[in-house]
Formats: sequence, structure tokens, C-alpha cells
Amino acid sequence: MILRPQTRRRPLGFDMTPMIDVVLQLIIFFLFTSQLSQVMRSPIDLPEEKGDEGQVVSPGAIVIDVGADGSYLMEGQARTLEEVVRVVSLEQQHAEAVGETLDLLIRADRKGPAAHINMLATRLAGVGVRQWKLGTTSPPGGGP
Amino acid sequence: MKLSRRHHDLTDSGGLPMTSMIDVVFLLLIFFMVTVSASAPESDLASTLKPESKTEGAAADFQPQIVTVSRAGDAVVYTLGSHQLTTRAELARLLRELPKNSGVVVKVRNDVPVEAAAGALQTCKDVGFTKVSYVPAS
Repeated sequence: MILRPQTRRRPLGFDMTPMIDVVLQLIIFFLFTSQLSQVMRSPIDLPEEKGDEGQVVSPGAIVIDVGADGSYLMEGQARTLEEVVRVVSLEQQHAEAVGETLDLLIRADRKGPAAHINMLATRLAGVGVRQWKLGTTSPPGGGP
Repeated sequence: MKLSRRHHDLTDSGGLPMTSMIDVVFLLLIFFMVTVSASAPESDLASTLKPESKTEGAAADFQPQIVTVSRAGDAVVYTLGSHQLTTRAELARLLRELPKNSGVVVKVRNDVPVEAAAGALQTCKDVGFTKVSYVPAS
């Protein structure tokens, strides 16, 4: 009698472990990157106010940081007022062309004078941008 | 000649399963990155920039309230009509009595700190004004 060598057969079927690993990694990646835009914003001492309920800044919003010394930053890059206005104006034109509303967030140092915001707001109004939001941070105690 | 199968034996049966360990290490790494670097959540105050030019015609019947934020020494003064107020609580009390339909214009002078301007905007929102305009005061 010829005996056939026993071959160990692996059970057929899907191995779910790698798929679950990958799915978990993807979930964490997207959770992390969705927060990253806020975490990566340059540190600035914002006014401590609870803000406007229901207002949500879209991920594609234009963020302008205004320092206490009157410096303007966009995406971490120092810009002159003229450059800021030019960029916002182009974005405004693009938004109008595609039928969207420009989402503009101004983050200003709370100790700085309002003169810098006033100057920026006046120049923005000159190019037709009249809607914007002022960035605030939640008060430590949660109250006003 | 007999070739050694040591390498295959190690990976097939006896080796350390690195995949699971790397998965766990990555998860722990990401968890600590997210939890450590999470900053205070930001919010925002929506504001409309109102043009300085006057509107004409019958719109004068629906003039918005005007709150002027200025500075007197180290103190911030909120001016509403003939009232000069030094605290946000007083401003809120006065604003509550006013009609909300016409909105409110917050005029901010250049020497006022940003936090005072934000405070005035927040007070207007808190008392129920939905149309809040920001105007740089000359």
C-alpha cells in the first residue's frame, strides 16, 4: 500500500486580521488629519470668548493670523497686508465663480490693538470681502 | 549536499511575529501624539463688515444700534447712544432692552485691544442680536 504523504491543508477563507488593522489605521489617520489643521495653526493668544454657536469653520477656510505687532501670517508664512488682500481677493473671485461663499477666519492676538484688524477689514471691504469670522478660544472655566 | 533550512524554519514557525507588535506600537504612537498635542478648541465669532457709506431712503427707519468701543486711559468704554458704559454687563443689560431686528453695529477704535472688540461682539451675540456688523471707527 502506498501511503501518500500527509499535506497540511490550510483552511480556506479570508484572514480578517490585516484588514482590520488597515481599517483601524485609516480611521485613526483621518481622525488625526482632520484635527491637524487646528493643531497645526500657529500659536496665538486669542480672545477668550465662547464664540458664535453653530458657526463652523470649514477645512478649506482662509486663515489670517494677525500678531500684536501688526504682522500678518497666512499658512505660517509672513505676508504683507497687500499680499494678504491680493490672496483673499483671488480666493473671493474663485469662490464667486464656483458659486460658493468665501470662509475667512481672522485670528488676532487679544492684547494687540484693533488697528491692525481695522486696517485689514477696511482693505478687505475694498475688494468686496465683507463676511469674516474672528477667532476666539474657549475660556478656561467655560464661562464668558 | 544538504542545505540548511534554518532560515525558513525560523520564519515559518519559530520567529517573532513582528506585524502585530508594529501595529500596536503605531496605535500607541498615534494615540499619544493626538492626546498630547491636542490644543484648546477654537471657536469663532461671525461678523459682517458693514460699509461706512450711508444707506439711503426709507431704510433710515430701521437704523441698527451702534455700539462704539473706545478707550479712556486703561479702561475700555462702550458707548451706546448717550450711555457710556465701562463693563460688558452694563452693555448687555442695555442691549437686551433694544429691538433686535435692525441689528447692531460695533464700531471699534484703533487703540482698543482686540479682546475688547471681541467682547463687544460676543455681548451682542449673547443678548440675541443675529445681525452684528463690525465697523472700523476712524
